Amino acid sequence: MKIYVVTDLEGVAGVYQWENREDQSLENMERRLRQRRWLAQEVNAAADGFFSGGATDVWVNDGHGPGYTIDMSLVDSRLRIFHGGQRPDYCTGLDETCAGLASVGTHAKAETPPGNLYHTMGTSIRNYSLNGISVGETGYQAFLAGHFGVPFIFCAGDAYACREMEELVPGCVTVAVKEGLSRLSAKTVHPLKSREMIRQGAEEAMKRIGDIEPLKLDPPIVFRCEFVEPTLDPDNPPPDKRVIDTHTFEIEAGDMVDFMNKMYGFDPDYTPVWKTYRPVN
Amino acid sequence: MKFYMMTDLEGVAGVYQWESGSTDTSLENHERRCRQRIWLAEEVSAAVDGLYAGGATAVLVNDGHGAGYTIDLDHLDPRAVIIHGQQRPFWLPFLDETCAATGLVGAHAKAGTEGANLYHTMSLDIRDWQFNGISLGEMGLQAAIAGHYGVPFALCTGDAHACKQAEDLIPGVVTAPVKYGTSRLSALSCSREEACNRIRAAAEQAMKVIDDIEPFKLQSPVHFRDERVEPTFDEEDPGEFTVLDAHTREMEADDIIELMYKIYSYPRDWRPLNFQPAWLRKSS
Repeated sequence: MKIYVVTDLEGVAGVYQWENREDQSLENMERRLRQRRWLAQEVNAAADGFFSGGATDVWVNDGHGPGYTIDMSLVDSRLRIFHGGQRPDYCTGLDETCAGLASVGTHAKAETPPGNLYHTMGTSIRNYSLNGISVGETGYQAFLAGHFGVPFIFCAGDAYACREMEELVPGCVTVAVKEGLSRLSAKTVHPLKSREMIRQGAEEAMKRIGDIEPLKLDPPIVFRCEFVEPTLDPDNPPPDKRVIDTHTFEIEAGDMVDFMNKMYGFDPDYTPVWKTYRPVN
Repeated sequence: MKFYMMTDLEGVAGVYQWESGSTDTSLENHERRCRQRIWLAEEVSAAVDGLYAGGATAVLVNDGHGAGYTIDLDHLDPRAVIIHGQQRPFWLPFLDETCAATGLVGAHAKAGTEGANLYHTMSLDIRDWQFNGISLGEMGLQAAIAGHYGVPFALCTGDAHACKQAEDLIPGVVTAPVKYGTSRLSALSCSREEACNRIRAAAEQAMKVIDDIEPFKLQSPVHFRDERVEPTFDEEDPGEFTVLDAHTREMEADDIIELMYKIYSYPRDWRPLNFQPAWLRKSS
């Protein structure tokens, strides 16, 4: 049983401000390195819970901005980590061979005050929706997993993100390691406590796998993106996108994979090396 | 039994981006480079440990990544002897018939390997290198140089794409993928501990199969074709090469060693010193 984990930084216990990758001050570097350790420890805790609950493989997608936020030096030896930029698809390795999708370090979607560090992809986006259902990043991933028949089983992060995922996916296990008080403040448990909570929640989530419905959408899929500021030129629509007005575009697609390919310009023929050479062990 | 180990950075587990040495002086980049040098030293140490467990009595490690100082010596197995630094007399000095086998830790795939992590041959300028019509990356070139001396290429660890290329070229070679390239700048990596465990096991196994692996030999003369990404060569000024067009030049040499001397203009008079301090010399 393989569990696929997508990670983010903003929902990790102890993190409450945006990561600044421009500021090269010692103070900022120290903060970033520390936060990368906290994230790695939460990932290890979740994985430990999944393994205790019966998982045989845990693949982790280092999903925060630059693709190297999990401190590799601390990663549990059983994990396999996706990292880096210019990736070939949205969640490489997430397919029908996975038993469940999970999320660690989760923040709430855009326009969720007072969620801590709420946003969807970037702060320029007001809302994403799929067939009229408003989704954040984690919901978006849950629908992609659903395409492959994979249920979303576990969410750790801000309480506002946990509420969002419980509403979207009945029966999933959530672990609120903090509660946003404003976009830039939160009430948080100690990082050691968060790991304990996450480990327990992840183990519990393994028991729910048969009971949680994968999220499915009826085709065609209509994705809608709304920007905060006027961004689009209706006379020059980007490829595969339908510009509604200066703030809004839509993409129509046959399924979630087709949508991702249209959204990001991925190569639909991409085949990972573990399918052509030898399986990942 | 002496093992000659070449090393590179791009195939180390946890590394997925180009090393930016001279241009990026940020704290962040410094921290990343220091960390990656430790990771490389850990993987090399794991290989050294496995090689000794498999019967090696000496391991010569070539710090082969660009700058020539990428292995963090303070994290290296003390049994290793290191070749490092710049202005070297040869690409793989001391690789000769006295070595029992050779191998590569931190391997990346050759130029043009779509989907592989950080694929290249020597530098990003090169589109393809062919030797007697066979496309070879750095791993293949190392195997050919070793093969010239009758030394088998027995071990390759790094990106799965590089391991596959090693297996396609050298039947029986022992490989250990420690990551699976998913694009040029991304990969699925093993954890650090798992990577080192795999490398240690593969290195030990490699020592056991040395006799079963045919050294990879190129037929003489060796015909070399050098294809570049950008227009590079001047037909009016070909040097020792035959310039076919601005992207392509060719050269022939009696063997691969002679070819390396010609390509890189290595000093032909360099020889190992083989000095023994007087008090350690055996009395005859």
